[in-house]
Amino acid sequence: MCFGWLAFGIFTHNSRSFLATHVSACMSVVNLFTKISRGVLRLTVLTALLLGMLMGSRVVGQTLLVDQAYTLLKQGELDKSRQAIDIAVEHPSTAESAKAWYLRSYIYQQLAEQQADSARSLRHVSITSARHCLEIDTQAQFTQDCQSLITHAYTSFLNEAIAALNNQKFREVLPALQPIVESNGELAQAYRPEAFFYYGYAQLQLNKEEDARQYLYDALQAGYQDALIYEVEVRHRIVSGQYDSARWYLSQGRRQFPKDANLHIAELNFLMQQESYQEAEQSVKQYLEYNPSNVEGLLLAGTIYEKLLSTEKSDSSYFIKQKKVYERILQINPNHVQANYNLGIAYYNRGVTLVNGAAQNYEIDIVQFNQLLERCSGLFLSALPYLKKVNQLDNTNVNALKALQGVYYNINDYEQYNHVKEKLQKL
Amino acid sequence: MMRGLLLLMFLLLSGPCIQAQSLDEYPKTQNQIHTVYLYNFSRYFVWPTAVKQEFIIGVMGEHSILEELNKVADTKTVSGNPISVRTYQNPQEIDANCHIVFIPHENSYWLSEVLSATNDKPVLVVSCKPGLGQFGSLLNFVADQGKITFEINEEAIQGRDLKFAQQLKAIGLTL
Repeated sequence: MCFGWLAFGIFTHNSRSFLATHVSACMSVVNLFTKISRGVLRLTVLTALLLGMLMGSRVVGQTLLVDQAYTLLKQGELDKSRQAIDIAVEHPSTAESAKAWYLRSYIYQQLAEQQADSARSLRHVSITSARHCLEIDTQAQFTQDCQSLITHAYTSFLNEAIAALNNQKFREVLPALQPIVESNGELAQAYRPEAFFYYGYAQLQLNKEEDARQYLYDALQAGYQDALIYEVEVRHRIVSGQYDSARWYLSQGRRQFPKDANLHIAELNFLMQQESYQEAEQSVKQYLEYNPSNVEGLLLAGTIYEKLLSTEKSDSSYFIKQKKVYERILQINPNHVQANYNLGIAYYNRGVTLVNGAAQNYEIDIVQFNQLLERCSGLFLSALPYLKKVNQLDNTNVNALKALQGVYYNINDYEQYNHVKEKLQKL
Repeated sequence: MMRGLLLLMFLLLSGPCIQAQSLDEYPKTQNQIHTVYLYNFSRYFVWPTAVKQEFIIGVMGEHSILEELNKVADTKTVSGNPISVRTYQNPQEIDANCHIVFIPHENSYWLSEVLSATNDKPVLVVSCKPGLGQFGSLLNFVADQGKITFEINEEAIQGRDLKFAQQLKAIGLTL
C-alpha cells in the first residue's frame, strides 16, 4: 500500500497539475508546499502530505481516482489515466471494484494500441485485469465488455504473430502467441488452433522441428487443418520408422488437400522410401498433371523412372520417360546442373545396361551384337554434351568428370580420356 | 506461407540425383564388349588344326579383362573343349598351342614382340589401340564414331594360315 502511494508520488512529481486538477483537497497543499519549499526533501514531504490527506478520506479518494481515470481516458490522457487506475486497483477500497478492473483493462488495451514497443506487456495487463474483473463482478455488469477486451487482446496477439510471420520474423512470433498458447481460459480456446499452428510453423522455420511438430499436432487435435501439419507428421513418422501411421496421415492429408503440391511431394518421398515405385509412378504422373513445370517434381519423376528402370532393365519405356522429364527441365532452364547431369548419366547408364545385358549371352549373334554396340555408342555419344555442360557450369564436379572419363573410355577416345583423367587427378 | 524449407528437406530425404551405374568401373563395360568379341572370334575363325583338349586365350600382362574372360571360361566351351585363360608376363611365355593372344590397350608396347614370338604359329593376335592394325596386328579394336569395332588385317591373317567367316567383314573394318 505504502509502496503504491510512494510510487504514485514519484510518478506525479513532474505532473503536479494532474493532482491539482483532480484531487482538489490535495491541490492547495501541493501548491502551497511548492511555493514555500524548494529543497531536496520536497518530494518526500509532498508524498507524506498527500498520503496523510488521502488516508483520512480513503474511500472518497480512491473512488475519485477511478472516476478521474475515466475522465482522463475520455480526455485522451492515457498515461495519467493509467497512473490513476493503477493506484485505484491497489487500494483496499477499490481493489475489489469490478469497474476499476474493467477500466484498467480498457486503459491498458488503449495504451497497447498506442505503444507498439510495449504493446505485448500492456496487452497482458489488459487481459489479467479483465479476467480479475470477471472474477469479482458478481453483478455481471462488465462481463460482456471484459470478454470483448480479452478477445480483442487475443486477436491483437494473433495479428501481431501473423505480421511477424509475413515479415519472416519468426523469433517474434513465439512471444506474441505465448499468451494464447499457454492460456487455459475459455476465451482463448477459439484462438488456440490457429495459434498452435502459427507457433509450430514459426518453430519449424527456426529449425526446432521436434517442438514444431508438437504444436502442429496440437493444432490438428484442436481442429486446425493445414497440409503442412500432415507433411510434418508424415516426415516425423518416416524418420521414426512408423510407416503405417505415416501412410495413414498421408492418406488423410491427401484426401483433405488433394492438390497441395508439398504434401504430394511428401507422398512421393514416402513411396520412394518404401520402394513402392509403381505407386510412386502413378503419384508422380498425377503430380505432373497439376504441376507440369515444377522442376523439383520433374527431378523426382526422373529418379522414380530410374528406380523402375533399375528393376525392369528391359523396359525401355522408363528410359524414354526419364529422358523426357529431364529434357523438360532443360527446356525450362538449359543450365540446370542436376538435370544436365542426370540426363547425361541416364544415357550413359542405358548404354552400360545394354552392354551388361548382351554380355550375359556370349553366344549372341555377332551381327546383332554389332547393332547393339551401335545403339550403345549412340547413347554414350548422346551423354557427352550434357556431361560436358555440367563440367562447363561446374568444373569441380567430380562425378561429371568421372562420367565423362567413362564415356570417353567406352567410345575409345583415349586422348579425351587422358585429358579428363589429368583433370580428375588435379582435383 | 513459405514452405520451401520443408520441401527442400523432403527432397534431400530422397535425393533427386541419379547415380551412374559404374563411374569407377567404366573399364568393365569395354572389357565385356571385348570379351564377347574374343569368344565369338573362336566361333567365327577356323584354325588349321582342330582344337585339342583346350582352347587357349592368353592375355599380355595383368588386366581387368581377365575377370570377364574367366566368366566365359567357366560357362562356355569351344567345339566341346574347355577354354583356358592364361596371363603372359612376356611374349616368350606364350604357349605353342595358344589360339588367341589379347594385348590390352595399356600393354600395347608388347605388340611387335608378340608378333615376332608367334610369327610361325596360327595365333590370332588381337590388340586395341588405333594404328596397330596397320602395324601388323591381325585384329585391332578401334572406335568408329564412338562404336567399338575392329580392324581386320586380312593379309596378316592369311599369313598365319587362319580363316574367318565373311560375317566378320560385314561388321569389321578391313584394312
